[in-house]
Amino acid sequence: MPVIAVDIISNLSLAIVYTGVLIMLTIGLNMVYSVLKFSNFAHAEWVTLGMFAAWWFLQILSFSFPFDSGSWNINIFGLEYPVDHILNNLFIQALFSFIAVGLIGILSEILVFDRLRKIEASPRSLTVASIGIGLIFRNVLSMTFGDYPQAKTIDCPTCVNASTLPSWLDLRGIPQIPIIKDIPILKDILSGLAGFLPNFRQEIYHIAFVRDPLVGSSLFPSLYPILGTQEILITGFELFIILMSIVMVLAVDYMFKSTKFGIAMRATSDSMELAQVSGINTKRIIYYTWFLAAGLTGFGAAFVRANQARFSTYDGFWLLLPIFAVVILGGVGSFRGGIIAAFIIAFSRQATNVLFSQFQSPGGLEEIIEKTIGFTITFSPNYMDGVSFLVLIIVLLIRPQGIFGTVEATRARV
Amino acid sequence: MITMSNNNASLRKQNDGIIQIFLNRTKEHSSLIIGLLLTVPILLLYLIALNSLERKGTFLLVTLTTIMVFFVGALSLDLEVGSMGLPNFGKVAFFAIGAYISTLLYSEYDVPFFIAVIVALAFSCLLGFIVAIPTVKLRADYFAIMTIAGGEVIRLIFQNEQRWLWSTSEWQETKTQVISNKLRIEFSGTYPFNQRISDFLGSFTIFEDFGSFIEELSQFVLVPVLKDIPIIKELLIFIQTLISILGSTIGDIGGVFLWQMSILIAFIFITLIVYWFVEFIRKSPYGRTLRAIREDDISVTSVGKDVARFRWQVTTLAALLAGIAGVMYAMTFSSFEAGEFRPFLTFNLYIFIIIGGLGNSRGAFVGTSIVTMFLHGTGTQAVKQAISLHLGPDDPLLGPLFQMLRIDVFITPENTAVVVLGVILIFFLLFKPAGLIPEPKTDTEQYLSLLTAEERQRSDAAVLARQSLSEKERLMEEMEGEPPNTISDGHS
Repeated sequence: MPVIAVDIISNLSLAIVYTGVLIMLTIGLNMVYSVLKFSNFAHAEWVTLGMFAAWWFLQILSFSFPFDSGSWNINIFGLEYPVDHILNNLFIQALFSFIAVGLIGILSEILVFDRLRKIEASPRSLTVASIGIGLIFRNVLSMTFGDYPQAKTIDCPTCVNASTLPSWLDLRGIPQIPIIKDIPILKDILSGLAGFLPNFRQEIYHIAFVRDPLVGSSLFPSLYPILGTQEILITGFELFIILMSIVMVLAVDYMFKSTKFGIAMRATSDSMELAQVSGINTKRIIYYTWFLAAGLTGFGAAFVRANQARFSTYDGFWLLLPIFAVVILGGVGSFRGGIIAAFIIAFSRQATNVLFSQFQSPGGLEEIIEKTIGFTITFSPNYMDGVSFLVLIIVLLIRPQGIFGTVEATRARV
Repeated sequence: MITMSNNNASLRKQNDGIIQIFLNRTKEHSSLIIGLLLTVPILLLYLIALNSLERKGTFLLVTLTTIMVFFVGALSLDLEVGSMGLPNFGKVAFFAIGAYISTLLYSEYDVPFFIAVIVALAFSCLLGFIVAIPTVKLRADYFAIMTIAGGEVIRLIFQNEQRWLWSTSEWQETKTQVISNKLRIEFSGTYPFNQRISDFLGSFTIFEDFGSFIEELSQFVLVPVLKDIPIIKELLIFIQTLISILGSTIGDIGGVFLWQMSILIAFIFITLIVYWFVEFIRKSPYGRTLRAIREDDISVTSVGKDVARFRWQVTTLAALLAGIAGVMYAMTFSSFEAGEFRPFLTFNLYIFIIIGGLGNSRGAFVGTSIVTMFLHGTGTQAVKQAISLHLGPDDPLLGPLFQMLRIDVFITPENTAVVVLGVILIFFLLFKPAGLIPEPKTDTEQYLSLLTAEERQRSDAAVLARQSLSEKERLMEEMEGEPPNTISDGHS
């Protein structure tokens, strides 16, 4: 038996992926929260909508273009690209959901939030209204696509028969058995990365640092008696989520801090009257804020969906509270704080999972407590989702403005 | 020409006047109009659902029982949100504590039911007391998020603590997450309660007789002279149908089990006590203080009231009521699990009180009854079949469009009901924030007239000073709050 029983590296990689997901989906909520100053529960539905929009666009694309296999090539700027690289391109789906969800964000502002602000409703009314919007969108989606969407198998004579479609299209919403790429040497990681940029197949990259020599080869097989199994299993989508989340959050942070547009947004958030006096069209700024906030959330959600085996209309809602936890822990209006907060929450979540599984194993804490006191409580790894809620509560009690918060949390009290 | 245009102008003026009067009238009676627009279709829907069913009495009884449970929950929420202004989004946690602890203590640990309920309510009150702590310094929306997170933590504990909070099922050794309510199962199985009401009455068929009497009444009363006019005739037939549905429902009550009836009667009894209690609080000076805290807590502090004390008292009290609602909620199921206690239950309570009207108990009742009847009505098989619709590529009219868009729309009653509820909720927030039954305004003149002229002047001066002070405070804060470099950035 190896000395270290836990696969530390794989847990770290899982936590980092979850951090990426949280960072991507937090940006929009943080924007709305800091500019418009109310907790937007409909944000959960922006996530769900983004997932569905991207998936739906893939459906339309794959059925509107008559092709039989992935061997079609298109000539772009003198380079030969296979058709499937363009149709099944995650960026195109994500851009579609960026625009679609962004427009829906503006629509909700025009129809509901703008009017509510005009009648000087309290933030509580705005929050309840956002809950109502969430109810409407979630149920309309589940009527249109079903709770767990699957590709429709209705065929028309002019359409391509589903059986002749290329196998990589995840039409059923469930990925095919993925191709596992064993990468034992670091040099191969880079060559593997070079391959996935245009094509977004469901590929899993497997990097074994240390593992049992009897099972297979690894980078440092001699360290197995000490370190135990240390390996990473990561999909191409997950790599992309991590990359994109950092790019997105830095871009938005730059925009918010340094561009004229971002300054106008901050001015609007400080005082709408003063911003108007100094010549800012606050109405337009608010529309842009909604478009960007909802759109970026949809954009991120497209990536998150691609990585999931299947998705449902409730996916966004279950992510809502962790997202809120990140925004509040990082501080409303601070995107860099959000990065740190996402790290804290994702790592504490994963740590809870590992620790509690260890507590439950034979000879763990549960048994020790039971032997000493006579009874024990259950340390279920399922508590890992509760950790973010607990972090949220503790932060609100101790430091409500968050790590880098600029918005005063105590000005208008309950 | 000139006279004609003049005429037109005057006509238009007259028309404007009529429209204006009409609009004014509508504004005056807007509560009534919106109430009718909302209530009548829902009542009709419910009657149609009732008409389609075999066991009308049972259906009516189940709806009434649910209304009672949620009314107590809505009162508890309304006491916090409406009277006190604390946006508690974790109400479901108190439901869960009330339901779980009372049921588990009775069915797993063999504690007498009354002690089990008292322990459950004590736990609920303790949690309510804890909820009051962060109100001292948190902003309203932060408080909302915190309570929603707290509710989820409580749910996760009930879901995962398998040693203590899971139930041993009858037929297998392992513990399950599904809590079987032993009290309810025993109660509906013991002798006098497992009989139908008609079994006791024997030859006395009170309900049947009364029902058929009403049905006959509908035949008898509505044989008018005007029967030949088509619209009136149809209207009369419609009213006849409604009355006969009512009659047959009453006639069917005899077929209800006694345990269902006794649970309903007990619930009505509890609800009346809770209602009276909440109304008592609202009308007392204590309730006035609560409303004052809701409007402006700093002023209340300045008159020497301890705001924190009021807050913890109200949250504890509301927790007690929500715990009672939770115990009642558990009694409506023979088994339940932690999945029932998701935040959606809290959202439902919010929908009830916002539609009904914040800050008054009658509003909470109206909202709860309307929405519950709507949800129960759409849940029946007949309405389901009537609403269900499939729009897809097979559709003759829009088929090609759906084919092109690759979507299949299944309009289902469950989802449609929630969409309609969401639309109604937003409609109320936008156009009728006070709800169907607005909160009665406190008549301040009544108390101010008791003052002497000098005292009156002093109080007016105090109010003015307070206003100018808060205005000054706001301006100061705005000046201080903005970091200087932000402004210079904005202009560069």
